[in-house]
Amino acid sequence: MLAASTLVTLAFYVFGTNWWWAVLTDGYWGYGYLVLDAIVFALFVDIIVLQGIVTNAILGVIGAVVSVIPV
Amino acid sequence: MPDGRLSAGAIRRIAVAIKAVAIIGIVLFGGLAVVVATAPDAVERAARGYVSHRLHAEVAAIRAGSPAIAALIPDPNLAALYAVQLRALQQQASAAAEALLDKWLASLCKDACGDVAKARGLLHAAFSALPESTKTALGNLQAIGQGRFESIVDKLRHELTLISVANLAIFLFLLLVASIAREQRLVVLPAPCSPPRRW
Repeated sequence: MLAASTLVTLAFYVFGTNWWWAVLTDGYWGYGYLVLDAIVFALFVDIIVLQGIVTNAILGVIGAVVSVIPV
Repeated sequence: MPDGRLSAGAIRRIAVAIKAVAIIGIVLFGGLAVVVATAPDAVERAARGYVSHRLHAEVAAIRAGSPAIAALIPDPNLAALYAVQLRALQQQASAAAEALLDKWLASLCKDACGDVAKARGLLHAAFSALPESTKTALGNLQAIGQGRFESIVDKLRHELTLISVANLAIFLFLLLVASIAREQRLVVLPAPCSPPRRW
């Protein structure tokens, strides 16, 4: 899972970054890379080990909040 | 009937694949970390090459839509000339803006508001309220135009060092765990998902 999350994060980092804009604006990921890696790893652990309990709870809270907001 | 659990052979193959990924990652990011740490010139050359390539592309795009700019940049070494032109244009634009500002303030504040400095201060404050990314981009473009790559290369080296060391640590950890774990199935999947132990 750690290998998979690192490879996924690496793909986001390499292919999802506009490198020209990053060089111009100093918009590098820095420690954000590690944070994203940790989040993806936690997501994988939750889905595979905990069968998505935490993800389900988070999405449930978000759904409840969104449903309260009047359209 | 299959019960959805991985066979011992499949687990062994996945463990081997993890080791292979870890070794490739270590070679890749270890090499990158070594290059960044020991050959800053190579990083600078790469950064210059990339910026030059992108400037070529930007200039080509501008030339396609503006014959006037094409006339300004006849030399094949478009990137360098583009940078010089950029600096010159920036200075011209700055001087023109100053002159325009002076005229505008003079026409507005003949008698009623003599505090020109205050008005200029307000305008400078408005300029300083530009988004930080825009100001940084302008500063970096100016640095490129003046051939000053040190700041850009320093930040790039810092980023590359951080990413390569972080990934190197992760892949080393993976290799270590995959190598010393007593049971390979514990490396692949946690206990609840693994096949039942047979001892």
